Amino acid sequence: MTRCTSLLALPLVALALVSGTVATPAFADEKADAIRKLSTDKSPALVTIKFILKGDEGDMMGGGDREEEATGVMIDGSGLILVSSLSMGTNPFAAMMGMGAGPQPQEIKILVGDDTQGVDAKIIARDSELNLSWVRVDKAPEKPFTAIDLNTYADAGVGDEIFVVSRMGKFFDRAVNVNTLRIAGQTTKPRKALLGGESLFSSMGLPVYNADGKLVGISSIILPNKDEMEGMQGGMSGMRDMMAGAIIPAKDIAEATKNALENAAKAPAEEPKEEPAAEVKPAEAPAKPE
Amino acid sequence: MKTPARASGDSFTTRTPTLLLALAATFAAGLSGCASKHAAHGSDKHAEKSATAVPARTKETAPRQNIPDLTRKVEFARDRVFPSLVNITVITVSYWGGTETKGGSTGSGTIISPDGLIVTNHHVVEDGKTFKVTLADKREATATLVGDDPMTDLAVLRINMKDLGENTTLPVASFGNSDELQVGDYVIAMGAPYGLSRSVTLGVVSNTERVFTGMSGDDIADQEFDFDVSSDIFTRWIQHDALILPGNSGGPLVNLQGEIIGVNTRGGSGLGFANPTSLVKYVVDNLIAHGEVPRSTIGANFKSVKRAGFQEGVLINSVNENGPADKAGLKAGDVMLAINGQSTSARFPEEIPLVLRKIAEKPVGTSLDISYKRDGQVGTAKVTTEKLLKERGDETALRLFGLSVSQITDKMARNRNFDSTQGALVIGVKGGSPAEIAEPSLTWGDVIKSMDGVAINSLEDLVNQYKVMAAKDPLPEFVTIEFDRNGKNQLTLIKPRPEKRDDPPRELPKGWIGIATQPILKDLAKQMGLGDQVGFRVTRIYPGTLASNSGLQVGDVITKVNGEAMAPRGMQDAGMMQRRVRQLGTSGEATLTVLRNKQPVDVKVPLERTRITAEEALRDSNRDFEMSVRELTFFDRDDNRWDESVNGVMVVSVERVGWAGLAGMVEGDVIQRINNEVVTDLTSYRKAMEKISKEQPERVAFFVQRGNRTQFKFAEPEWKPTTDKAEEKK
Repeated sequence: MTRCTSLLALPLVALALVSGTVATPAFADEKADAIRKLSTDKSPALVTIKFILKGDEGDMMGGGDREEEATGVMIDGSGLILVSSLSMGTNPFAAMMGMGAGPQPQEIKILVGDDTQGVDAKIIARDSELNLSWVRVDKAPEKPFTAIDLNTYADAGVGDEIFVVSRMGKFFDRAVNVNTLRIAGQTTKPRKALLGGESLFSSMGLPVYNADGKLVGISSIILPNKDEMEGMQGGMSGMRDMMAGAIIPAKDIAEATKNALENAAKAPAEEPKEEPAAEVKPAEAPAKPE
Repeated sequence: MKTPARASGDSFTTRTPTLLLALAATFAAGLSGCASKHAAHGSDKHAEKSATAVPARTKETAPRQNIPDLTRKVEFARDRVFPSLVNITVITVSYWGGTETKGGSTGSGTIISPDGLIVTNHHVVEDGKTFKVTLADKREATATLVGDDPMTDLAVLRINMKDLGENTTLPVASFGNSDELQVGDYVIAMGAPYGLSRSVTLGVVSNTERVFTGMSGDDIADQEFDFDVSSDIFTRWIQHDALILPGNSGGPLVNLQGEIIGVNTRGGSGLGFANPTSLVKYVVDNLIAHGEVPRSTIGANFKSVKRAGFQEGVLINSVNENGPADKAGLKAGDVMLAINGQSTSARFPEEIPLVLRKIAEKPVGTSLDISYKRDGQVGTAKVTTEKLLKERGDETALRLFGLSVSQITDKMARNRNFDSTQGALVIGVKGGSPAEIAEPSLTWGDVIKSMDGVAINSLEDLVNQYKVMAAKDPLPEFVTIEFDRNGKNQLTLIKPRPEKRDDPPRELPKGWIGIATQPILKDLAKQMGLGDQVGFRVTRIYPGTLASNSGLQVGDVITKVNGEAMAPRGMQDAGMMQRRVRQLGTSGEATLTVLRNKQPVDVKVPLERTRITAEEALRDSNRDFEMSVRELTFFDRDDNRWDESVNGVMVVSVERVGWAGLAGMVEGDVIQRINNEVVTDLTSYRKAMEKISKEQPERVAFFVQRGNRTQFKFAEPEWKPTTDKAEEKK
């Protein structure tokens, strides 16, 4: 009896498969609509950041220079991009472990849409606590770039469904990819953040939306600073948690961005001098050293 | 072969042969049945014969009583050669990885003429740009390269006698006859192992005709110590056990009569290999006369006949297409029997170098009658020798492309199956450079055939075309390169650009209170009599910060920040308080509730911005001195307990063989003064360095703080006009 049922089911499966290849969209439910809309509406703000990762000779965390790519998101039409510092090659562990600055991204170019050459850009600010960098194009575009609005955001809580819009690499022609997941938890230490329940590592620095397309936050990693490292001796489990990433609430991102722009607008002279330079009178050099 | 041997603070490599290759080759040679002449140990008849020639003893070797006879003989030999023994220090420039790379090496050598000629190894002086020689009496002088011979790994330098003053006559060591050497003879190795000058080791000769073949083969041509270079094919080494180490390279192997009978060249694991003077003298004479060793070749490769089943002759292993042997009709498989009527035979691999030298030492263009046997029939061929050409090509780096390129020699073309020597061979590509990010990228082994439509037939063509491009202002956006990769003709575009490096981005300024704290956890709080009140104990108040005038005290335990409890549960919360403060902004004040003498007290502390860290400090790179510095940070001072009088810029990287590196500057030094210019920050540093660059003084005195001491470091720049003005301009 079981066997007969199975055999009878085969033509139905085949029919379903055939009709699936013909009819588009295959599923006309709300979630599918949300995914399609997010894919269409949000992907134009995703940009590719090309850069040369340069290490200092002799730097323990250095090494050879190499070209890298990262995906960032345009957050202002004038050419302001938010990106994960980790994706930009900055080694968060180098500073954490007191091993120098590590390799630094140089010769940054922003590729928007199908552009393959890119426009020159620079990192204007970095927040190691959020593991995020703000990159700005050197020359404002004639026509504003498509950007997401950081100031229109929504809160999200445990159990809410969220969506991450990302892109594949150039080998897959930067195909848009929408992942769905639910807020699986939240934490207040070491800072307030939402947890995705699965690794967000591949979408570091990218926006996380709710089903209405409202920004919930930015995916990132939160790492201990040098002082906090002593408490991280629990082996790899702590490391796994950290590298899985978390979602920084959109409100915090908006505030940090405001801070970044204000700071970038300041002339370097406005930066506080470390300490007043004392009058220094080092010993005289021998006039004619042997 | 360079073997790193960095002693503390030593920025150089000392050069010596590879251990494993030598051992493998030795083992193989042993298996292949080489015959060693055995003689009794202590063959010291020559020493006895020459005993009357002992020169006056030096102060260090005042007469001693009751010393063994052998010791006397070693001392005799030492005194004859020591005065002419030199240390050689070389600054090298090599071109790999798409850029010029500076390096340094040390080796040994022997003065062989009163006007300053020195014999040493090719691998000691290889890629050398400047040479410094330290004499036995510790005087130093510069030297120039007279010539080098990669095929025998020998070289000749000439001391710039002006450096030593008028009428200087140098002590000279003399060559002995290496052909008289027998297995078991005592020999003395002299030199500078690990750069330690004037060292002597004693051993015995263990073989006088060692050759290196592959592990299981019997072809000496299989054993190339240097890719593309037929190293050692003319050499039958003196194998001995006088210990030689990195730094001994180029130093003399001396008999008990105090004569040079070899030049120590390879070694490892207790075995040393020296070029015999029978070969050394020939090479040195030619290098002095011609700057090179002109050699003849018939364009054939030879093999000993034992394994082929013949009793005599030399097997022709291969002939080069269109070479003299090929043109004369000789073929692989022929057995050469005689040259110009003189029978020629190599039954064992040890005899191959003699055959090669017999041909090589003929004048180029000599007509040779070679009789040979083919299929049992004896034939004769008239072969006119050609010049044995340099095997490794010249190399250079094209910095705007990030590309290292080489001339293509006949041998290189043959090794790679190229149909000609036309073009320029890519031998290195710098990561992230225009050549690497080009689509398609250039890679190792590509042959550049044209640049912007101009044919590139040689390295010189490419360099000339590159110079034309580099002189353009602005640089062209694209350069079209046509190249050959594995027989496929391809095109790519390179976007030339000079190297540049931006300052690292600044961190977002956030709120900060200038204190250090430690978390007071539950158990410690109880022990301190605080009950359940956990918090953060103030361990240091940074001087000069707003917190230092706030009334906070070391020992206060912070329990709240603006009313919010700060309750650490473990060391993972060590940063909790400062994380909270960072969210408060960079101005205004925070109210810290602290436990002082177990009583709660509110302390208002002005907020300030986070201080700049080493990672975000601004930098400056100086190309002349090959040194990068960064601004000094608040935390540098605090970590080192430097007070406010310590200002300057901190060295973050220094090329060890650049001007600053050779002066002894190291990472972490804080430059406080340059000649008479006080350096307090990056601005004053740049101003001082600009002045130095303009005035180009002979000596630059850097006054630095190293740890808690100050030091003077003296750089002796070699100011020269920059040849690459086009790149400087960018």
